[in-house]
Amino acid sequence: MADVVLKHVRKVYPGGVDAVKEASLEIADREFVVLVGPSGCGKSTTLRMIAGLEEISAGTIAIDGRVVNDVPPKDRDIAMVFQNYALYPHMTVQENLSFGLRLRKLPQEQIDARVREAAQILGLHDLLQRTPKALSGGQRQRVALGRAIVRQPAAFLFDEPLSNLDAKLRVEMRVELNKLHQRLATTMIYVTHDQIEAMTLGDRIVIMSAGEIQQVASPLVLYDEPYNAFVAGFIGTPAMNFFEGTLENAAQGVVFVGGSGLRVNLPDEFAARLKDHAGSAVRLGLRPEHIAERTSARPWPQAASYRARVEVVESLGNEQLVYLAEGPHRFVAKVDAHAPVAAGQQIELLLNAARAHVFDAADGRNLTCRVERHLPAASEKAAPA
Amino acid sequence: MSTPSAPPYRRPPPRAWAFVVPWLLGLLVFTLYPFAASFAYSFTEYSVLRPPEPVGLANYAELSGDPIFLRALYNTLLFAALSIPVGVLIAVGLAKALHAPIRGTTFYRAAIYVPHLVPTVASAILWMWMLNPDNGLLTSVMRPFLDPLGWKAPSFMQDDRLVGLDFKNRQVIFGALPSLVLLSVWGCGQMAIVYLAKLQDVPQDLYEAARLDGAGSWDVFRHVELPQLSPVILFNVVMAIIGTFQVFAEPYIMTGGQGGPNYATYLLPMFIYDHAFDYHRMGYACAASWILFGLIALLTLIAFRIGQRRVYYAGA
Repeated sequence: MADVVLKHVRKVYPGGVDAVKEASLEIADREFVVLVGPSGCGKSTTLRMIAGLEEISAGTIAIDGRVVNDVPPKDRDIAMVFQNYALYPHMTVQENLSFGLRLRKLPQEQIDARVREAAQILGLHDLLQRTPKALSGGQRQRVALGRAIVRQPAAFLFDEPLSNLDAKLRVEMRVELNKLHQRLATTMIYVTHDQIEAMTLGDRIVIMSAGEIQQVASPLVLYDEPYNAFVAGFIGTPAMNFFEGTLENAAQGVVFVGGSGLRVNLPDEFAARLKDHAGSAVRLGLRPEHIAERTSARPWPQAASYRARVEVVESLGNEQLVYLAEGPHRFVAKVDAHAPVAAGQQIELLLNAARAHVFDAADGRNLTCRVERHLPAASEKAAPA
Repeated sequence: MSTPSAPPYRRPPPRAWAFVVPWLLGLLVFTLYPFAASFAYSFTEYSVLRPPEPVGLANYAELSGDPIFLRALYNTLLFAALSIPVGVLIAVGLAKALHAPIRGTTFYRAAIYVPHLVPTVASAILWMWMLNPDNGLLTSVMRPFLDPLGWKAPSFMQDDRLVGLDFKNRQVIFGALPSLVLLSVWGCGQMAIVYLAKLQDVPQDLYEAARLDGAGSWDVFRHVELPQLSPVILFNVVMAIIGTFQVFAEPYIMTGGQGGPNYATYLLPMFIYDHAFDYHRMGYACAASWILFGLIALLTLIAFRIGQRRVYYAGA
């Protein structure tokens, strides 16, 4: 068990590719942290630097208080689960699980005990004598997990471990990983490009883009208080809607004016922060569930009205996704499953102004964000259940 | 579940035979007929000039007591036992060295492959010069080291002994048969390239997993690379068994067809050649050929048997 601290970590590949420009992060002991972002954002490189598989160009990485920049991977007391499982193909499951322990010259009875325990946790006892090629993808991933567990490392590193599994299995393994984290109560650092995995697994999520950390927060905070437009657009399905426009100071407070008749009175809470931006170009961000068809809307205390034409309706059973257009705006609303909407109609909408975000059009910063960019681990969340 | 069915069989049109027959004729006349005929002749006394006379198992019986045949058999087995393992070890070593990220790998790869492209006769003549005990390249290289000690360089192809130190005459022993082994190992670049290709095929994350598991470079080689190489090694060993038992041109050229000195490089194919075409004992030569064939088949079978237990095959 250990905390992992990254200080101004940077990775420049030969040839000048800046894979990680600057990453500073404190991962608490027993915390489950997920690094998420689009391909090429530097999340895997960051993980591999923690593992010792990539050299660090600048900055320091400390595991359990010890700077490990020059410590070889095997002496960092970490275990890693790879996307392609990386099982030794000629060894049986049992040999795969025990390989690392045998190399470390552990006494045989201790090796057996640990393999037995891992096999029991992961339901592998019937597979111990098989070779990886006789296993399904899910079973292979479990063996890869087992190989990490038997090591009893200070921290687990996961590099997109579920990407090669089919959708159903992915959901099952996600739940298992969650249980495993509760059971082992060990620091886990997990890389994925899948925001659902990030949201469901992480105590905290680190969103990366273009080699930089965009925001660090718990899943809910990330969803409700995105620090910038990138985070706002990356987390949430369908993605947050953005409306281009400007801010105006009016008698009733600060108003977003978006053209084609779109006017949204913003909550008084933001007035102080937004009034200096009057006249400048901004983007209004509103999640699909905060746009509703008027007759079936829940009563929102501060709602703006708008009219738009329905282009496409996708009925998902429990809700409908309505793709709308009006003037320059294209946006999606998540409405009640039985709301009377049909393609081609003009419909009346309500926009939940209390949940609107205002982003600076130039640098994408969220002018209405209520939290710091980097939130520390909440100790009560990190502790085992 | 429906399985895609093969297209229905259609009898090929008669003109198809026109394309197949030339090859079939070649196979019949130059492979199958000699194969069968040699087996039949091995039970005859046949001088080529006169019709063959059946002699039953007499040829085989005579072979079993023929000291020249037994010497040739011993030489051939020894040659294989030395050149195959040494060749595999050096080829794997070269592949490992070329797998490392070093400058100029393309040059080295080409360099170790070139010997494979040199025609057999040319390489035999080249090595006759290299191994010349008076002014050959190897002698010239060894002299500055040996002369101050008062020792003599090996006589190579003119020495019927194997390898060692002759304290009486103060000479390093590296005899004719080991010299042949040296020549055969010189051509192992092709094997090395195949091993290298296989090494480059080893998934990167296996290396990384091994590093995290605490494997040093020997462990990585032993537990990650060698298992992946094993099917290629088996293939190469089988090909080498078949090849080394048929080595003929090199010793024939380098010893002027004598297999000397003192029969030290007299291999089975030379024995067969001499009896068939010089001594006109075709039946006797055929019997020796079939013993050679049996030996190759047996050793190949043993290699496969060992392979079944020791070789890891990738894929489902």
